[in-house]
Amino acid sequence: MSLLKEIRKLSLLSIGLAAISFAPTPANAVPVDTPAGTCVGADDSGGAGVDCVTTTGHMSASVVSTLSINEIRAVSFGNMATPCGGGACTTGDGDIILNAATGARTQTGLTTDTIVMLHGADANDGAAGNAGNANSGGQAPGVYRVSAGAEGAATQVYIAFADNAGNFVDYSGENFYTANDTNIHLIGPAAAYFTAQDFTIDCTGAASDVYGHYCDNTTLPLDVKVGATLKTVVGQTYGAGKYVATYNVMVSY
Amino acid sequence: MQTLIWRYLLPTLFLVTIPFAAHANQIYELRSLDFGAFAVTQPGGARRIVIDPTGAQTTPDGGLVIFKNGHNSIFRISQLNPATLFYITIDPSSVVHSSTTPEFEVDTFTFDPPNDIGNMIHTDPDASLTIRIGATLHIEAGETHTPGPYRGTFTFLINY
Repeated sequence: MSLLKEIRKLSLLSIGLAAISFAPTPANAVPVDTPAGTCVGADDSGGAGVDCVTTTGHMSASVVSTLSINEIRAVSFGNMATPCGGGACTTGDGDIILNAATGARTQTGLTTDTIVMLHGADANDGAAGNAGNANSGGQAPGVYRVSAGAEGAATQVYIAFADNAGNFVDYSGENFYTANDTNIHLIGPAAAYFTAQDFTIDCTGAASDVYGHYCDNTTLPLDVKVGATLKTVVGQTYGAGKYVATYNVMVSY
Repeated sequence: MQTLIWRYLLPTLFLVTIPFAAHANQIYELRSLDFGAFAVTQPGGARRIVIDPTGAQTTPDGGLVIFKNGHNSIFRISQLNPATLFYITIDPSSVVHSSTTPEFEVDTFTFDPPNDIGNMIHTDPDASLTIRIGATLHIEAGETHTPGPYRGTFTFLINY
């Protein structure tokens, strides 16, 4: 019987201890003084055990490439005599058509607004000696280099053109945005100007589909050659000098 | 007699010992921190991508295009005592690494709930708490980063 009493005492004592252990941990316990940002060393607050714990977090980022296009060479229509005989042009049909692939210059053949293309009198075209070569007039197609951006499975990049206000201008043979097609002005002496329009391209895998005109960008960098047509403008009188313009070449997937 | 011992004494001993054994604190990373997929469209200047603790993403300096949004990091802290006061710090040397240089620097870690040594937080009555973390990724001026994935780690410390 006395043993039973002892067991009861022990049980009550244990229950008491259990009750103490379940009492809430002292709220807002005073923080200990492990240096901020470290878990080095033991708790030196006088308490037992450590007062900090660490783990490793993970983070990531992904850099995506972007297409870029840079001008290697500007479009140049080459040398010509003063158009329209030095007087005011009357019809706007004088032209120089610059071939993107070969750089050769041709003309539509209309004769009202005349443009006489100049070339090197002693140039050797490889065929007729120094007979002069119509393609030696200092002209050059534009060359634009597309780099980076071989993203995912994309194997085509589309080339488009716009004026300096960002208005889309047509490719040669297209008439979707004719209102913008005379917006690119090559301005020279006395603010006289030609227009540049009817752009063409030559590049690896050049072709067209419903989305536009594209090149194969499987291998980068990709060089895109650009041709265009220079036209006289009604009422303009052209003096000798240099005529220049800028325009936008756009590349997209 | 043996019946009495099994019925009363042993259960109370367990009641005494179990609560103290439970004080092994645990931290679980439920979700990693991600700054998303982006391209630098205006190279040259210093750029930042900021993920706040709620997961919102901003590019305060512009010059970037975000192709895929990032997200915050989430940690679950458990098995501290209920109402334990603590605060969080991050090892300042954390960076996002890659196999090539330059790397990205990451700093300005922010927390939800906010906390620091002067503004400590405490665990819930169930002795746990969920912490959400944001940070700022830096693209230094003049640096060019090779396209591809970048990975990094940071050290998450709880002082209590």
